Amino acid sequence: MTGGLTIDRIDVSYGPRSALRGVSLEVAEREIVALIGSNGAGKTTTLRAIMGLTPPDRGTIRFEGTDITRLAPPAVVKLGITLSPEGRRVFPQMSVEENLQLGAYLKTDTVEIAHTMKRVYAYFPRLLERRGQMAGSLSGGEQQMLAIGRALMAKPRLLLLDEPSLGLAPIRVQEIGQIIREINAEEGISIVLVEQNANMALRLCQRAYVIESGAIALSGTGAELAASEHVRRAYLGG
Amino acid sequence: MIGKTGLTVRLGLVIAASVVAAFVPGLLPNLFYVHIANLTLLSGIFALSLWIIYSVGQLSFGHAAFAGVGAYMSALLSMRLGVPPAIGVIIACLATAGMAVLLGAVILRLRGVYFVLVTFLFGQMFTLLALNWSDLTNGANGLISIPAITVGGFSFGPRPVFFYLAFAVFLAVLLFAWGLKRSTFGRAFDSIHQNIDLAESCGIDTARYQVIAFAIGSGIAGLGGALTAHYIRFVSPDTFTFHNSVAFITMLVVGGRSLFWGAVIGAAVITPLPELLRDFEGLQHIIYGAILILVLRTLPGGLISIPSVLRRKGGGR
Repeated sequence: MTGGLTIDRIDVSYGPRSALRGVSLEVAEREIVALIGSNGAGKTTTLRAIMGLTPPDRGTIRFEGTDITRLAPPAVVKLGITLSPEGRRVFPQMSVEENLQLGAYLKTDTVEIAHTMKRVYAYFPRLLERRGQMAGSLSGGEQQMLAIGRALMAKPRLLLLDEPSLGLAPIRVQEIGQIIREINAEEGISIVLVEQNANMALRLCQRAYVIESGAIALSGTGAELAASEHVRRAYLGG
Repeated sequence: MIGKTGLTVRLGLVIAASVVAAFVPGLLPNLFYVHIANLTLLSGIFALSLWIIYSVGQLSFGHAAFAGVGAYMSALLSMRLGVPPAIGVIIACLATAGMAVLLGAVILRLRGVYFVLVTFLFGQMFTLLALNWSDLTNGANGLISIPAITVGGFSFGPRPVFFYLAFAVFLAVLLFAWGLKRSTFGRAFDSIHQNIDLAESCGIDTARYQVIAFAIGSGIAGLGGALTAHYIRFVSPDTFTFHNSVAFITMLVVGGRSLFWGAVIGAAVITPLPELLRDFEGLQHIIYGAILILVLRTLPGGLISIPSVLRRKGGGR
């Protein structure tokens, strides 16, 4: 496979503590792939490994044919991958617009930046209303929108979303899900969707992986996994 | 971001301060006060340089060691090799910055408490070297009779004259820090300080910016140390110790860490203290500690946050 992302049997550890063991994962072009699992299973670590924030000890990560296993984050961003992280998602003491501008940090073409920003504001009209406001004073849902918008500013071809539904009211989860689908369809961006909310993730994705204690336990299409006895019992509360 | 008017107001403040400063040496009752004013300006330089390092989210516990390296280097250059002190201080500044680049490239991978520990060790190493490398440093006795800075036969040795040099350098550092804050560097520094992982995810080369900030801050500390050596005309292992590093940090905390003005205010408040506390020799550091805890408990934003705290209280919100 030349396009997309291929992770081949990576091991990641934090010092002496092993976090991922032999994780393999594929994302085709324009595909939404969900990565579900419980807290501490290794979802965020997988994304950090892709970004170069926590490089793997073994195994390889290739993106569109290029080996990115040992690349530093700026180089990974330059190749077209961005991350919308979990938790502290924004620069709190900067305005909404300044946050977005930093997302386009590696872009130099100001016309292109302005154009991308217009598109981001079209996806998230709420951000346009609050463009001058400090990001730290936004609501949780707005910060999530800003985090996704910021990641889009780099014009990625692969977008990594870490727990976009975390802490949001059910109605907002639906909104975000709808926008993720639109971004995927209209911009042609591949998406890795990391979620504890398996329900939402399995409905949005084409394919999904279940990660348990640092290893891939199951994989298949979203519908297959949603029907699987194991997934239903462990992640869908039924 | 400050607007055009904010810019004019601040420039006006700088000019006003310069005009006032022109009369300071003449107005102070005696040379002792001029000396305190000079030390305050030098502290201002140190505090500002530490602030630059802090502005990328790192806290150096060995800042005084960089000042010490600059002091010894410029002093030795003038005493052993006959380099004019006016040139020596600049060499000291650049060499200290270069040393910080080498050190920074290695240790800035460490974050939080680990970085603090290594900078602390660096400070201790400097003190040990200054004590034991006697051939070069003259050991515990230190270097005496360091020449004053002279430019074209004009000496900046006398205290009231040195005041103007210290003020000029202080002002230059202040304007530099301000310009840095407003530049694209400043934006990158801010983003690293607020959220380093996110900054990295935006494609910002955080390691590079942290090394740059560390080098600039340490280089300015080296410059300040060199100025100090040619002013006091004496430098020993006791001139720049761990206690000075703690004092610089105290200045940042007491003044307020969020803006570089805080560093200046902290220097102005803290520097005269040791002189006022002369009678409590030995208790000084306990008093420093008490001040630190008091400020962190009651006014975590430092003295510069007083207006906004009052506004919040007064506004009844």
